[in-house]
Amino acid sequence: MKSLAIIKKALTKMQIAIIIIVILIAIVGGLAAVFYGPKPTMVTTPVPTPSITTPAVSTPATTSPAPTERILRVSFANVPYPDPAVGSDEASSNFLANVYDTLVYVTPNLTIIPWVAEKWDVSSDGLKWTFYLRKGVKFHSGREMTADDVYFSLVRLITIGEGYAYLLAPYVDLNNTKVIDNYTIQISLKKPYGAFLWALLRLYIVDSELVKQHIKKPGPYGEWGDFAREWLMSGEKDAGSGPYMIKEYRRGEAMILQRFKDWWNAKAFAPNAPDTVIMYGFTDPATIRTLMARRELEITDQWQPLENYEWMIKNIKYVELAKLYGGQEFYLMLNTQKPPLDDIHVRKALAYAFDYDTAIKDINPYEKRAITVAPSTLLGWCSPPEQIRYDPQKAIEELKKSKYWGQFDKYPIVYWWVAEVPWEERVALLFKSNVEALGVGLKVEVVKMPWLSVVEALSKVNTSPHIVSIFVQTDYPEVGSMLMNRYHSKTYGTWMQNEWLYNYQPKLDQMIEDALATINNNERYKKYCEVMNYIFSLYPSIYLYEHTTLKAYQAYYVDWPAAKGDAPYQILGLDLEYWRINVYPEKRAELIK
Amino acid sequence: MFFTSFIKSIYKSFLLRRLAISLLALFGLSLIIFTLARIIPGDPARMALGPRAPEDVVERYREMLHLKDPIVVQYYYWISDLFHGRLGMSLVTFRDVSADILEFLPATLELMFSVAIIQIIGTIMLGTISGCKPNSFIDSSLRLFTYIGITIPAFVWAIIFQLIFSYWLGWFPAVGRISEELRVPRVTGFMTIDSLLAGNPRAFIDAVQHLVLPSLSLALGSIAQEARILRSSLVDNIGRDYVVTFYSHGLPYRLICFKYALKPSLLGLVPVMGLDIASIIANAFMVETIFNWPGISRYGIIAMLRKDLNAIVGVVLVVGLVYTITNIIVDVIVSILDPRIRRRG
Repeated sequence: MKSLAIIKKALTKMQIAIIIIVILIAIVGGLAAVFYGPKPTMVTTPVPTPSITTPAVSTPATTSPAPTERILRVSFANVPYPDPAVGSDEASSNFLANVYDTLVYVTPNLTIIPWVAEKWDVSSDGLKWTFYLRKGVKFHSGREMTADDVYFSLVRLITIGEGYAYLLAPYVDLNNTKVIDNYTIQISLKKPYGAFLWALLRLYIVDSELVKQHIKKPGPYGEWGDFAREWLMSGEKDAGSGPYMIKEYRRGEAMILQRFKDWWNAKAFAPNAPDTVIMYGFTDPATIRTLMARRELEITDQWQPLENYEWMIKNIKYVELAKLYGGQEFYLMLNTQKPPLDDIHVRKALAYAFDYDTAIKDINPYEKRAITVAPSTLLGWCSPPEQIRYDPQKAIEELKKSKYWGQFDKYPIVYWWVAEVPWEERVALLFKSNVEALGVGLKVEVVKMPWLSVVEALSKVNTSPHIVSIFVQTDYPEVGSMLMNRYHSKTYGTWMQNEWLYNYQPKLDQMIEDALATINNNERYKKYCEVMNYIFSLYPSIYLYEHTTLKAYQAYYVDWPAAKGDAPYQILGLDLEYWRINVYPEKRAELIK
Repeated sequence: MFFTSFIKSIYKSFLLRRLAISLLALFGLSLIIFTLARIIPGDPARMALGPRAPEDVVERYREMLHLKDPIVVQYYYWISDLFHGRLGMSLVTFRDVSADILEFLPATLELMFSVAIIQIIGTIMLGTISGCKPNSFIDSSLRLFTYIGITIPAFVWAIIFQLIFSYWLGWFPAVGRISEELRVPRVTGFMTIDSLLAGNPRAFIDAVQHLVLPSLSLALGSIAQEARILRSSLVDNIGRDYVVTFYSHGLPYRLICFKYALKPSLLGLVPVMGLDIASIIANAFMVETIFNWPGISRYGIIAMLRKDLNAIVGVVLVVGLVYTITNIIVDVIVSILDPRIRRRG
């Protein structure tokens, strides 16, 4: 009553009336917008009928391309780094895979095939690999590729030491690598490397003459100056030979590619492959939604909130969700040096205490359940000796075997989740409630931690928490890559592991290295299985999700092979082989009429 | 004659003093932010290169950034680089920060200038109409608008405008500075100016269309706030004796309001407006993100999130410089508006 009196005093009758009318209009208007506002029609069954209308002749206003222009727009978390010796994030990997060629390539069913190398042989000791190049492979500059370019690319990558160099630098013996003739190169290795051909998928071959012309001296690489890094990173031009080339680099905004018609493998271009590809570097959900609805974006990034994907497929006609399985796994990494997790029985018990079904059904319904050390989509994978499932009773039985039985309240478990990934909190809280519900005194403290702090803390065992949950990606689609990334001592002190398996490490390192050094595929896979099962028996991690990458796309006018499982999408960046994607601008024109 | 002597007096007694103080302030700012950026825990070299980069490569970066040297030594290297026009290497873009700033700053400045134009026109229009007709229907409506404008942050306006004008109506583009099919040779970095210099009117119109929504989003909240300030000031001045005197002498109310009362009313507004416009350089990152605008504000946020030491310092210095220049401009404008300040100074 008092406040009413104050309001009455402060405002005239007319002002009060105006305020009330405006509020009412706003409410009515808002409700009208929700229920009757212009929005795309609901999807019932998205069955695109191939009715091709006559393309519009006039150029549409502002940003819409002409109906006959084949343009593909894709969003990523960032604009790619154009230098093949620098980038290794998703956008850069995708850019490099489309702008540069490699010696070998990979089919959708993960078979290595010849690419610019038409054949190769390997010495019996696995240390000498000889590659025979195709003749007539042209760079974007018009120059023909020779073995010197391959050698230069190898030297450049390993000397700079960034990007994907880590896949090759520990193994390649540059001193004994030699160019035999214009089309033959022999790469020497310091030690046998079973996954060498996979590693070569990341050796992007540069036009050495063009690069040398742009070298600036002095630079950090001795006689090589800056290795033309500044020039390549400027995006002014690329030094590749791949199906696409740089048209324009709008730093911080977009990378625009155009088709390279003289690509050596031009017959492999899909009949309606895009002429122009735009790689955007933003993921803002509202913007992505707007662009998809306006048909100004064809394929989204993988970083959208689940609600945004679901909204798009529900409310924008003919937008579908591509689900790409493989290559990444989500772990709850257990610090085996911190009590009570230094006790194997406690670790095993925690694995049995977790409600995996709820974690999938209620938190991440598109993810698959991970059951062992590496994702099941990787070559060399085998089933674990034991199927862990939610079993609180078994968890308690296991805890009774622990030396900490009866004293769990003295050893609280600290669980960190990454602040930048909000749904991880729900996983953490689920874990907490599951463990504390056992009623044995175990306490879990859930802590939200920014990514940079996680990275910093995981550099030392003392500052690492008991548990941290992180996704880890493989470098190539073999189990060995995950074993190396996750359980080899080389990644101690990095965010890739928190297990600190000191007690088991010399043996584990030796097992992993021995497996990776095995040239024969079947034997190597057998060894992977042994290593996997050995790690599994230590219960150093809780295996939760085999990650499903989600991307929304315009299914009516974009024919995207990876969405149908017909692409090597387990390899970062290879889900988007632009030269294999069909784009139908005339169908797009129907939707935007 | 008057203007020349006026400029001279300003220059001698005021501008130089302000410049000297500003330089000192920027120096102090650089010291503070340089130190803060380096004492935050974390290994920026390792973070930039990733967990699999070999230690010798990471070590090379640490040496390049002088991370192992005492902080005083690091600052010395940074200052010497500064005198050579370099701000150190960015760990995100892997090139000199000065090159990044030259690349991204014009985009935000272009946004700033267009926001400034909208803000000045909008504020003066709304504030004057409202203040000259207090408690009228227009005044009440405008006051309601200002309440809404102040409470809703710029990024929410950005999403609303994108929804209405890009999505529903299709009047304006949703992202970027210019359409993909248009290419404008870079001269100044201002898309509007460069397109005019290139003699491409279509590109100019396209660039302006791209500017509209982000500029409106950033301007609206400030217009709302400043219009209220102007309104209050006007209402206050209209009640003054000199205005009553003018009125009693038969001067039209409109002339009194729009000329004699408005000018002194702007005195309190100009500093606020100046700060608001200057703050865009730092605060526009959400709007820049929503519209995929490659500006320095977004670059700065990414630098902070990725612990890009040199970029953090570079961006903060640029922000400080913009605030400094804006404050000087504001002081000059205020002294033009109020002759008493000129005489005192």
